[in-house]
Amino acid sequence: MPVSYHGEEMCPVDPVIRLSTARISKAFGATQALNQIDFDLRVGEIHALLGENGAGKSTFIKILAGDYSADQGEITYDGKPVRLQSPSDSRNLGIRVIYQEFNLVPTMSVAENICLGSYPPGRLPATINITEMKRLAQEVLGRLGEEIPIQTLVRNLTVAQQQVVEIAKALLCQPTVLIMDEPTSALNDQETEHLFALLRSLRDRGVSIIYISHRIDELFKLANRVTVLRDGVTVGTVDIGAATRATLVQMMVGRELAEMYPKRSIAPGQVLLEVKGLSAAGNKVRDVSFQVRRGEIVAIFGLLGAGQSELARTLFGAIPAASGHVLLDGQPITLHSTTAARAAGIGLVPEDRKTGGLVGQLGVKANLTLAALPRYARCGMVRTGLEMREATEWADRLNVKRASMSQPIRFLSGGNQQKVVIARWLANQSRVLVLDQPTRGVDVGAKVEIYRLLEDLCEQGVGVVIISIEMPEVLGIADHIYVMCQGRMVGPYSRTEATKHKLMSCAVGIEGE
Amino acid sequence: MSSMGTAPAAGISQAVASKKLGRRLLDAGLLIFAAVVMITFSLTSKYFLTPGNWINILLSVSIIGIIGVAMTLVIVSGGIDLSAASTMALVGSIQGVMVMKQGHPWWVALLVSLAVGLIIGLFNALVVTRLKIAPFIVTLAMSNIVRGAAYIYTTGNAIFLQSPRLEWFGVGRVLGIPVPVLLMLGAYLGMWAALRYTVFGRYVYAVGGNPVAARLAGINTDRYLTGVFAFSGLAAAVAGTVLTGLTATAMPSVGVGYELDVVTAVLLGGASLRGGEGSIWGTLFGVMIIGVLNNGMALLSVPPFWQILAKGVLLLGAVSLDALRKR
Ligand SMILES: Nc1ncnc2c1ncn2[C@@H]1O[C@H](COP(=O)(O)OP(=O)(O)OP(=O)(O)O)[C@@H](O)[C@H]1O
Ligand SMILES: [Mg+2]
Repeated sequence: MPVSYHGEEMCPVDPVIRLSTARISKAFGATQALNQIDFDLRVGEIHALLGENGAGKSTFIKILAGDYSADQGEITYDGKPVRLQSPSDSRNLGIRVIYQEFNLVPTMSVAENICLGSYPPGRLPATINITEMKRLAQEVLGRLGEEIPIQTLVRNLTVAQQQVVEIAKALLCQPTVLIMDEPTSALNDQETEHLFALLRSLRDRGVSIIYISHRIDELFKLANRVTVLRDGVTVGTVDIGAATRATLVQMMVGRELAEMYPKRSIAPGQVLLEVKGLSAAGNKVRDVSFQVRRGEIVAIFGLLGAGQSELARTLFGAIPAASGHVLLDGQPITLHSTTAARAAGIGLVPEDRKTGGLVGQLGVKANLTLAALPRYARCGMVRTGLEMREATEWADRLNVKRASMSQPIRFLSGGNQQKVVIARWLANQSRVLVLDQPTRGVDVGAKVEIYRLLEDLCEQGVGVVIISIEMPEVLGIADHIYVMCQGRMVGPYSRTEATKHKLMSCAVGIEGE
Repeated sequence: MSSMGTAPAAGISQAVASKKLGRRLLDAGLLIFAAVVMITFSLTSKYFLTPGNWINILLSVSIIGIIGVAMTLVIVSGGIDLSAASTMALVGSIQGVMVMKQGHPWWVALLVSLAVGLIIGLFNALVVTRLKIAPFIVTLAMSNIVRGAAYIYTTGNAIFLQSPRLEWFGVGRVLGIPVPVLLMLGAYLGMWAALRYTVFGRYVYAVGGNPVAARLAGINTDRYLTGVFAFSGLAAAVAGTVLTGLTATAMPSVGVGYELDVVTAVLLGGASLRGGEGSIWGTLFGVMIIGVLNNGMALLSVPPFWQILAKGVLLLGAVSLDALRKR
């Protein structure tokens, strides 16, 4: 259980294997999610798992976590075969997992969340020693070098802070193996740097880390080795020193990838969407003005929580506007409801696909046609043949990996779910598409596909607003860039005049240079 | 390193195989159960399998059957309607008082009572959508309000109804088939088509499955919820009309606890109280199971106290089955 944090376990000559798997397979119905996976994790290494959306990464770690049981294969821990049939089996070995979606209780305090599941017993039976709990929580946070007040309710924390709480929770019992599924997808550069420093120090203390990410570049700063999965099969494991971005991408997608950011040759047309002095109820959006031309991609950059998601929701009528005007094609429109926004031709890909994008129980088709359904109906009756044809066409065009069109969408991998949400608005032929962090958790191949798609949309005269916290993306695809900080907006900067430095100083609020 | 969880990794594939078989059995569980019940009843009672008895069973479930159609819609939308049975009682009371005490023509009484059902549904919807109060609480309160109103309106007395036109909804026959049975089957067909082929039905699934995502897809969720509850009120009114006709009596105390039978049937049919899931044929199946059980137990003269207990066991069994299946 508890690991001895001594140097002697880190032997550089002959690496000690902490955890290994042999021929692990797992099928969901007809989908072979994993096929004969061999994998090993050394003591004190950061081992990255890389692969396209749906390659099987999350499934693999869920097996290591005891969440799913493998159909076949063996798992060995410290040289001994083990059977992981429930999460507690794997916890008892010292394996801790931080999932793609957080598992925190928003209405409980930081301390309670950190100690959740292993509350220190109080003096009377069935009581909790609250002082001890707070001390423990404080101590772990201290080890992480983090200062989050332990009494704060988790729902009042930023995403980055919640991330820290998740890590603290995992570190409470001094794990031997730490598994993280896409931890940086919601973090900005600074926060990411911070997390990396933390992970490195854990590694140096002998913790073995499995790290899943779609941001290939960051692996070079962090990982020791990389294992690439494709369609449920291991393509190979390489030392990071022997790898380049190109070789990794090649291994991942099985082909060389074209230019990441498409070269655009579309001359933007007339102004399509004009926002003047928009403020939203709740004060998260203050006096925002910007415009989008036909065939133009406008990016809104900012740190997480700068009000960009609220802006997106206000534009879509989900948050009432307090003041300001929105003009579409020069005509003022009132966005008093999401239905009105949809009717006006605005589409929104929300930031959080699980809570805001998907209806988990429904199938791929139903999710894809959710916005466009009235288009496929005559007098309220859905023409199901037409619906199926169009939905299939979109799913194929976006390469949505699925067992069937009626497969419940919660069974799709994260990236494929995202494609379905985007396709929803394409099917509705939106004129203005607002995408809130559309490539979060999406693999490189699919990212390029999404960029291509936005490109196509521009060619058809659609105006695209993309909200992003990823600098390279913003600089790569936008024609004009606005930056938000504490609800206010500055810009625009054209692609040529924007620099990393300039955008960042606007984002943190040091203006005027 | 650790003493726990280190059992040898053998027999995984057998475990998986037996798990799959178990799941199949679970899937078929209710069907098997229904088959066993049917066989038992038909072996122990010579009346059970006669066509007359089947018409009887259908007739006896027509009330919960009709409300079940609406309840399926409500549960799919993520809500519940506990005011249906009381609405039924108020509707009957209105018909009784208007026709027998105030001398209105039967059709005026019918229209007024249906309108009252609709208004009760709309009021439920208004509170649910505007004040964002859980349907469970709103309709629970409404159930008492409506029941109280029925007692007040009739001063607590039963009224014998003498109106052949109104009674036709309960005892009439078309081509030899009782009107309630026809109404019920018609309602199922209609709701099946509505859930499958109309924008309304499809959006109700979305609203129930994830209201936030539905709203962010441009769906006016409040409008759909209003439609759902309004329909539920109307369906309860129709069921009330049938019940009054069947018994030729308007009774303010009628149908106490019916709504729970209906919820049982809907859940037996595979719907989830979390919303977004459920099918109309599943509900019909659930309604039939309850009907067969009631009928069979009556034929075998199972004491009524035991019948109540049996229904409780059935509900618990069905939802446990469902939970196990979703593991
Ligand atoms: N519970 C499930 N039921 C059915 N199919 C599933 C289930 N979980 C995963 N799958 C399927 O298994 C495959 C692998 O999915 P997994 O979530 O492991 O991918 P991933 O590599 O984590 O992708 P991403 O980068 O998008 O998160 C996918 O095709 C997915 O649709
Ligand atoms: Mg994943």
